[in-house]
Amino acid sequence: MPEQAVDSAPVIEVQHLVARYGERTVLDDISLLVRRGERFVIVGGSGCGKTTLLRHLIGLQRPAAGRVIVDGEDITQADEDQLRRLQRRIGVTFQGGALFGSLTLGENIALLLEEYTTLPASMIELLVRIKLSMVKLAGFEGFAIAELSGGMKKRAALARAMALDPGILFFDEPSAGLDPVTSAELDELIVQINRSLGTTVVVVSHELPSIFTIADRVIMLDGDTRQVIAEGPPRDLRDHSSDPRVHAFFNRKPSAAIGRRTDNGHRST
Amino acid sequence: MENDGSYELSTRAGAENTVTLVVRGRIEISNAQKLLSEIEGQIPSHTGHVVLDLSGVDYFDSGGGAVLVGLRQRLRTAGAELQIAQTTPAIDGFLNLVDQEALLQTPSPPAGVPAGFTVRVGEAGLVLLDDLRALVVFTGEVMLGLVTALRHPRRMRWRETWLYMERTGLDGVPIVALISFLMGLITAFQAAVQLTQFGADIYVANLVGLSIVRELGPLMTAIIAAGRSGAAFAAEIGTMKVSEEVDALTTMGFDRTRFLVTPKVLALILMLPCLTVCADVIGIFGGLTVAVLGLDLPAQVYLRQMQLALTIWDVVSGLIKSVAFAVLIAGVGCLRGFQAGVGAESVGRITTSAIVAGLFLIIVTDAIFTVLFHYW
Repeated sequence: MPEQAVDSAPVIEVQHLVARYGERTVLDDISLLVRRGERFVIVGGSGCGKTTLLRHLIGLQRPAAGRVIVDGEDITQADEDQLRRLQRRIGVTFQGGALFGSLTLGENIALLLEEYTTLPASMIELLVRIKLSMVKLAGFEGFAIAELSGGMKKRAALARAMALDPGILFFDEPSAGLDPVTSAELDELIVQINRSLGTTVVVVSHELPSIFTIADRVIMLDGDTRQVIAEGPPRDLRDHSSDPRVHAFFNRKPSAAIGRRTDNGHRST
Repeated sequence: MENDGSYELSTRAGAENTVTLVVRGRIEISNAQKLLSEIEGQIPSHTGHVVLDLSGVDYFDSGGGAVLVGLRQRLRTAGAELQIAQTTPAIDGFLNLVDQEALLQTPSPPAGVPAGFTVRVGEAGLVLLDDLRALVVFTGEVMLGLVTALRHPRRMRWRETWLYMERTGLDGVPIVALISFLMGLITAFQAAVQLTQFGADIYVANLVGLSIVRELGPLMTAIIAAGRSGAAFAAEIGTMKVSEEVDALTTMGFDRTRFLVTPKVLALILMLPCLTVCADVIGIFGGLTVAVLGLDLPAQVYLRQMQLALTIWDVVSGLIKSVAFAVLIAGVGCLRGFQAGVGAESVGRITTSAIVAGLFLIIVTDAIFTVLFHYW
């Protein structure tokens, strides 16, 4: 299996991002770099703004200040058309899957290929099959979304996110709501896809096992300061961080030592 | 040698029965179909062995994968074998990820054969029967809920009832007012055109008064309520059902009728007659406008004539009907809500069904009342 080297070129670059919901500041002066081919995980406690940061990276929300550059394009300056063209080059797996319940599994994936390519139906069918086999769901094309289990839905959502061979895949809480085994399998699959296809992977998670399996590098957000409080490989942070908040998180310790536990989130992150 | 700028394909005849194909350049989703048909065109019909040399490929995505799988499928049906001789790391990575055996199996056909005519008629009949039974059971539950509410008024969820009264009643006044004003205006205008021919202008008052108060007022108001409130109830309960909120209520030991249905039904029972009175008054005013401006009838004369034509029973019978309509609209709205399945689409379906069933029940009930009142 070829281990594709992590390129040094940044594929996502965030500069001094500030995010607000009305008066409330959720992210304050966040900067980060994700390199091509890297597996990058955004971690932090509930309500620290992880999902908000992700929504800014995929262009669903515009920042109050700062710049977000994805695949060479500044999405804070881009107009609707440019943004839509960029969004075709990325794939997003939402927390609940967000598969369209009115379509079958196969149709969910074929939708993108039908809209954005001029391929004949036989070729689209073949591509859908390939995508499904990548997530070990070959043969389930005709299934209704409601017939799939939680783990299958996540994998199906991943297959849909990969429909157009995106260079970057985003995941919001891939293991949310899954049992440990299914969750571990999904984490493994994400790593496999990254290794085999060289796809850059950006994950939002607070599940320690997932973080340790997936991440080359993490950044940790803090709900109180609304800033990045740690950055680096997860094992380094677990073993060597001097910050009590980081230490508590990566060692799964109660946070009594660091005073008030913050859960000021209105979003579930 | 073929070249469209993105890939190059060349053929090398090898030993007996063997063809070697060399592909260089980019193989991607956008050119996969073209490449596949070109490769197929270059394979002689009796080849037993095809060797693919991909060492010169510098970009390969799932489109390339589709070419490989498609080619292998077709060769296999022709009794030939595909061998991939030289690859690149990207291709290896891709092949590693997909389960090739699973891909070669033909997809399982969609389950079930289309049922025959008799079966479908039978099934439709059963669905209708089930629906009727659900309607009867649900009506019983609603009635029971209302009676309980009357006997133990403190157990009623009044705060929600107030909220729904505001939404179904007060918020509906503008649209009801507009429609009934125009209905009065239109009825009066149409009547005037006919009655002037006989010099019977004054009877416009009788015609407009009776038709608005007995029929058009209650009916139009009910139709508007079916579209506004019936649909809203169905969508609200349907969404709660889809997001398991209804299940949560049930497991907490609450009676779903008391929590979700009775406040809505009671609110509409109280508000629909009020809206009907509003529609009656404004509809009559619409007729008056035509009489005064178009027929030069003094307002006093018009109203006096209407007073002679209308009895209190005319108004009351209209209000009795509107109470019945209210129960039906709110009841069927809530019932459809509980029948929601999974997903956003089912909420859309049951909302449509709530309106259609509401309209159907309104018009049928109206017909029954008309006959009943006639022979009273």
